[in-house]
Amino acid sequence: MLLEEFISKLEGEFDDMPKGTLQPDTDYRSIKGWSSMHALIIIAFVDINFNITLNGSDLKATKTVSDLYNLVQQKRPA
Amino acid sequence: MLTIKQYGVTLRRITPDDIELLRYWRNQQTVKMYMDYREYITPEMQKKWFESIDNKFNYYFIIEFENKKVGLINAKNFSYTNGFGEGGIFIWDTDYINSFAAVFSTLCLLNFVFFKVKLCNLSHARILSDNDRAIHYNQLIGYKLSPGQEKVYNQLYVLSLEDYKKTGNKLNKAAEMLNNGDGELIFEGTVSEKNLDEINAILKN
Repeated sequence: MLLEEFISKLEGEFDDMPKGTLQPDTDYRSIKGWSSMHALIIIAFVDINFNITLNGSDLKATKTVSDLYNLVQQKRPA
Repeated sequence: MLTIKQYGVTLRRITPDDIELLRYWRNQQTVKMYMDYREYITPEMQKKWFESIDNKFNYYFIIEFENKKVGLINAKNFSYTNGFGEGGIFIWDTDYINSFAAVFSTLCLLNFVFFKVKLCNLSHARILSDNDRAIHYNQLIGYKLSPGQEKVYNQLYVLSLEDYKKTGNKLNKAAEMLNNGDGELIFEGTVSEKNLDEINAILKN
C-alpha cells in the first residue's frame, strides 16, 4: 500500500475527518480533538489492514503520518 | 460494592469515603470547565449529591489505573425504556489525560452494561458543544448527536447497542492487543439493594 492510499484509508477511519486533513508530515496527535481513542483506532486500523500489532511504545516512537507509515512498512514481513 | 476490571483498569463503585476526593477534583478549573455546572461545590452539596445517586439507577466509579486513582466514570439515570440517561467521564490526573486510562475505562463500562449484564440497548451522553475533544471521543465510539440538538449548548448524544457492536469490535480488539491479548472482563461485588436486579443476578453466579 502506497503512502497516499494509507493516508486516505486512515482518514476514513475517523468518520468526521475531511479528506486532505492528513498529509505525510502531519503530526497526527495535533489533529482536532485528538485523544487516546484516536490512538486505539490507529492500532485497530493497522491490525485490520496489515495484520500487524502495534503497541503503545511503537506509537510513541512516531510523530507524523509518514513515521507511522514507515513503521508499518518496517514491521511487515519481508 | 461493585468492581469491574478490564484492560488494566479497575472501576470501583464510589462510597461515602470517596466523595471528598471527588469534590476536590470536581472543583478544579481543569475539570469544571468541561461541566455544565461550574459553581463551587461545598461538602454539604456533595453529600446531598451522593445521596441522590447512591441507588440502583446510578453507577459512579473511581477509575484506578497503574495503582492510582486517576478519574471518575459514570452511567446514570437508568431506565428500562431509555437505557442509561447519561454517561460521563473525567480524568483528573494530568499525567493520565492522554493515556489509555480513559478509553479502557469507557470500553470496560460499556462492555459491562451492553454485553455482560445486557441491561439495555441505548446509552446517552451530554457534551458541551464547544468541547471538541469529548465530541470526537464519543463519536469515535459510535455516539451520534440526537435529533434537534444541533443548536443546544449541552448536547445529547446517543449510542445504540448496534452501533457499539460495530465500533466496539475493533476498539476492543485493539485494547486487547495493547494488553498482551488479555481482554477478560472481571467483575465482583456483593448483592445489594443499590444494584439493579440484573446486576445482582450475575453477582450471585
